[in-house]
Amino acid sequence: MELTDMQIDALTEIINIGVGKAAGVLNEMVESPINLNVPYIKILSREDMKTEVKRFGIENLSAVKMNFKGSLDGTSALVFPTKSASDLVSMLVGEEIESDDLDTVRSGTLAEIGNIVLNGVVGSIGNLLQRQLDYSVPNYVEASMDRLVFSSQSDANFALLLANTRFNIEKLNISGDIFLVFELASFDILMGAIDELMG
Amino acid sequence: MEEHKKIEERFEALNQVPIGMFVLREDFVILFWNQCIADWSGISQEAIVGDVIFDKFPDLNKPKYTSRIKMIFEGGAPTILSSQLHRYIIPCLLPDESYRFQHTTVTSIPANDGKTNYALFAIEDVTDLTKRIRESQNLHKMALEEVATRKKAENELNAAVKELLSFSYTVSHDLKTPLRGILGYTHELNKKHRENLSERGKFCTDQIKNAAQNLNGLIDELLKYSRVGGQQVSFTNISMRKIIDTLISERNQLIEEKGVIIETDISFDNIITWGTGVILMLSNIIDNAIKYSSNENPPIIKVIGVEHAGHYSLTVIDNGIGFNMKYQNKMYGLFNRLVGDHEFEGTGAGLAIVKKILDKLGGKIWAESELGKGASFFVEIPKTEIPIIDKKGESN
Repeated sequence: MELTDMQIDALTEIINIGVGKAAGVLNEMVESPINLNVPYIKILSREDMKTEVKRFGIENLSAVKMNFKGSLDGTSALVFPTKSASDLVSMLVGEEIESDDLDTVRSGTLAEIGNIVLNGVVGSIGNLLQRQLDYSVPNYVEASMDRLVFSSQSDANFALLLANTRFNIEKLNISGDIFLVFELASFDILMGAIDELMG
Repeated sequence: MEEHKKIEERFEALNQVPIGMFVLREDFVILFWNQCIADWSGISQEAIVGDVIFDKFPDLNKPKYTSRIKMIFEGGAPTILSSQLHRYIIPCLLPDESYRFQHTTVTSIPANDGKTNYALFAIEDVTDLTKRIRESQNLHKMALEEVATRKKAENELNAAVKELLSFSYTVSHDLKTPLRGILGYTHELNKKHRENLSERGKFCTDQIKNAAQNLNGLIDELLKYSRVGGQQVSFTNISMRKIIDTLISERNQLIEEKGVIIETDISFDNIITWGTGVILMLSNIIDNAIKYSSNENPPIIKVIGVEHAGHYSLTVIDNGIGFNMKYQNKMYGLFNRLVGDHEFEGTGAGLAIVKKILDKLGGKIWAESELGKGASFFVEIPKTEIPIIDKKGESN
């Protein structure tokens, strides 16, 4: 699906509003305040997505996934390389980084962090659509990208939106990348709403 | 009352689940409080249903909770409140006065009026899990600290051993200087002034000379011992047969003088090992065998080498004076001797040097003997797979 530059800009802005809200919520509860922003988004085919992920050379991924349905059907996922996921949890809760393992308690924390980010973005999109969506309970998973993103929907025509999300923890002078991935049955509704917004 | 009754009917089944659950209306009034959360919190359904939650739990009236719960009332996506970031949502005391760790999921469910939404809280008790994970983390931490402590102690010990070796080397070296003076003046006294000395004077001079020579020998051995201790083990390719042949031919004069018969039977030849160490070790063992069998007629020495799966064994057998097995551990101590100086010359450093070399190499030495019936010394040299880097930097 081809999107115009203006549509891409508008969508990036909407996602940025979402992650900005999410950062606000996160910062009320973590030890080290975090900034989140989305420098760019890409609309990709499945094959493109595989290439894109390979480019980062990441094999083990942790993700928080949430499905939604209603006027817009799809899956949203916040995807981290497992090591950064573990480090991020340690930094946010002010723990010493002792191992890369994410035990059940720490994966619960990551599920909450992912939940906040996804809710921020999905909430922004929901506001745009002005329609209520039904959501699944967010789920923490560890797997390869293929299994993380592509297993839930069998329809090869589903479009993927990859939002490269930069996080920056100023107090610790640490920044890094995480990915927001949306798998959507159709961009038409979303784009229709964006076009309407832009007049 | 009507609403409470409908709610009670709608959520009745949730009283059967082992998860703490409660339902809030959009004005934060508690509509339902299941049996599990009632048991955990010690607050009965009757005592709390109909109250605004902040009246009972004022901590929840903070933006970090209210902003997210409001989204739920608007039909937003579920919210997770994890145990690490919040510890608990509803304080529930345990018998040990600590609070239950809680992982809470809040979901939006349609209200009975069909227009608004309720917030359904589902609280999992993760206390046991958290405690076990903490215990295992503590154990892991302790194990890492233990390893670090041991490593530190090992480094300190190595440093102390190194310092001691360097100290004994320096002391031995420094002792040589005055000793050279004593030997020099005794030599001059004997050569130029001997006729002017009384018989007692001559005796004393000879005693000084002997004692000084003896001391010189001890210092030489101590220096050798220190050098072995300080040397780095470096692996090279060696020919065991060639080494043994060379060691024998270097002692030809003594062997012929004493009529010693030496037989060798080495089944392996080229091996990778610490060449200098092995040569020094074998020369000490062979010297001992010649020395302690020199009074036999004839002295017979056998050197046998066999290759095994993980090591090479070398056995040196002589038909000499042998020793009492109960002293066998004493033999490897520095300057420990099982025979008197008047019987056989020596310092008692040879086997200590052999032991040190084998310790550094990861090998073994032991002996079998009976007084007057000869002795057998068994040596094990471990096989190594460390590649030898030649001068061109290529491994072979």
